[in-house]
Amino acid sequence: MSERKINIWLNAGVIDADTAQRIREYESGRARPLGLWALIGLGALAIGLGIVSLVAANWDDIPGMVRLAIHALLIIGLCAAVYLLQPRKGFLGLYLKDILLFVLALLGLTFFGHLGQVYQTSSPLWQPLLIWLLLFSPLLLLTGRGWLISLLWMAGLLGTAVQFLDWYFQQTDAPRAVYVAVITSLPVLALIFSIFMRKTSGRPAFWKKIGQFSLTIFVAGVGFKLIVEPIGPISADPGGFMSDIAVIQMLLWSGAALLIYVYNRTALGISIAAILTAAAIISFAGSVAQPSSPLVNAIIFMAFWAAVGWSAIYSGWRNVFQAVVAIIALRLIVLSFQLAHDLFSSGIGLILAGVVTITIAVIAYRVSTTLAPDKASPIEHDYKEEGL
Amino acid sequence: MIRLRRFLLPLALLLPLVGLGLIWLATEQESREGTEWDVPIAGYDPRDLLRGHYVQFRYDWPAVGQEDIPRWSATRKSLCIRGTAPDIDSVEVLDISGSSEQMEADCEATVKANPWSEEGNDGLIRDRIYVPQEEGRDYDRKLANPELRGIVRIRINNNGFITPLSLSFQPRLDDNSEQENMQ
Repeated sequence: MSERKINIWLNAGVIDADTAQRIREYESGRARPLGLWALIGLGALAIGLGIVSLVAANWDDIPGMVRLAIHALLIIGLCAAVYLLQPRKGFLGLYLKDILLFVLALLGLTFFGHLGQVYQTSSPLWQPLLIWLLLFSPLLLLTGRGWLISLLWMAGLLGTAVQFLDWYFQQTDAPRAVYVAVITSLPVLALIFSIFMRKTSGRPAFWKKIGQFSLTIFVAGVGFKLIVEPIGPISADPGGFMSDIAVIQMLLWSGAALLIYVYNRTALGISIAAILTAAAIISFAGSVAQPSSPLVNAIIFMAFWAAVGWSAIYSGWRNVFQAVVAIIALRLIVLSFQLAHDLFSSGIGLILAGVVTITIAVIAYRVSTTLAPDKASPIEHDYKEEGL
Repeated sequence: MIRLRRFLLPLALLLPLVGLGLIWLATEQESREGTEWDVPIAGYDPRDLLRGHYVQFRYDWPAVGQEDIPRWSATRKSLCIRGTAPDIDSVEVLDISGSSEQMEADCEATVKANPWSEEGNDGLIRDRIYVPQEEGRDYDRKLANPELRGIVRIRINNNGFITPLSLSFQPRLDDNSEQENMQ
């Protein structure tokens, strides 16, 4: 705690002299030898880097079988460590175990590359990623506790999906819409899974993270699609490929919305169901109608984000709401330039463009501060444990 | 339920161990199968110098034009190799769709493009081989040397897919005597 801040608050009358003294005493009791810890951390980092570079420099001199055996032994050792740490509470059971689990999963992933290097085999990236996902998901999802493992798992899922789609489009001339639709809906499936597990598992915090990441990826993905589709390379849609995908996605997403609404009729469940429903309808409308007018495209885009904004108000996600307002404001500014791009050709036009930009920015700021749900809004208060 | 739960963690820990072990075993098994052949290489692309610890090369199949080599595994075409391993006598493009099954019988080995390899559908045209870091410069020099001809030892496994094993060099004589040169 900075002494300067305490003095500023003291002078401004926010706190009195007694409080200031108590804060100083409390903070001095909590003080950690930061410099010492920084040096210890630096030393550990140097040792770690040294080991890595020693191994890397002599990599070719170590026979392949020996390397693979060491790799496998490290994996077995980490499995044993995770097994021993699992029943522990506190730092060892919560943080250290998650870190070991993370390292274990990464060693498992690199084992595939290592095998390929030693045996000179190759396969498309999605295959080892998928096998890794199948082998490690039970472990990660059963024992993970914090954001590190949930992020790793989501990254694995997303990486596999992206790599598979990339490979699939290269391999086939006539991609099947149902594959693409289901694979792009994987975040929705992960979201449903996380909501179910949150109620039944003993680690709601972990599943909450999985849910947050899935929802974030989903919303970002739909937002990206709504921007890219009108300007993207697939402006013509021969064979109705894009609209087939949109139909299947609409069915999947609205089904997911219904399931979540029925299963979890809290503010959280209703908000998520609302986002999924809006995404299903709006993405479908965008893909089928393929509007060419910038105004219609902007309205479709903003309608989706408005739904996200409504859900944010409903569940009291203050930061999400403010982000949504910023996104809509940016889209409005872009739209004003799209509609009147000849404004830039004259001085008056530039002034008008500037005025529009500032007006939108000011309005957005006011909206995001006045309409945003308070951190302690009644709705959020009711579902504090549920809130995303 | 709690009784069952006790077994979940050991099972979840065993799954990756057993799975990775089996994959290792299968890779080891596969690496012993198939036959080994020597194929001359050509057309080294200097643009690929910096693509990691491997050398990228083009196969120079004896007596087959570059444009005849099957690219796309879906075309159901393969290369028929005749000779006694590891020496290739002749190579012929084979259409495996339908009638030519008995033709395949008198091939010593048939190769097809592995669509899952790094090279994808061009697996019969070009490939890559990993080389030790300190020898990379040496390989670079030899590949660029017009006097030398690169020969790559490949393994053709039972699926007809290629794995490059090693790279060696021989002095290049006249084009006519290329066949003897390979012996």
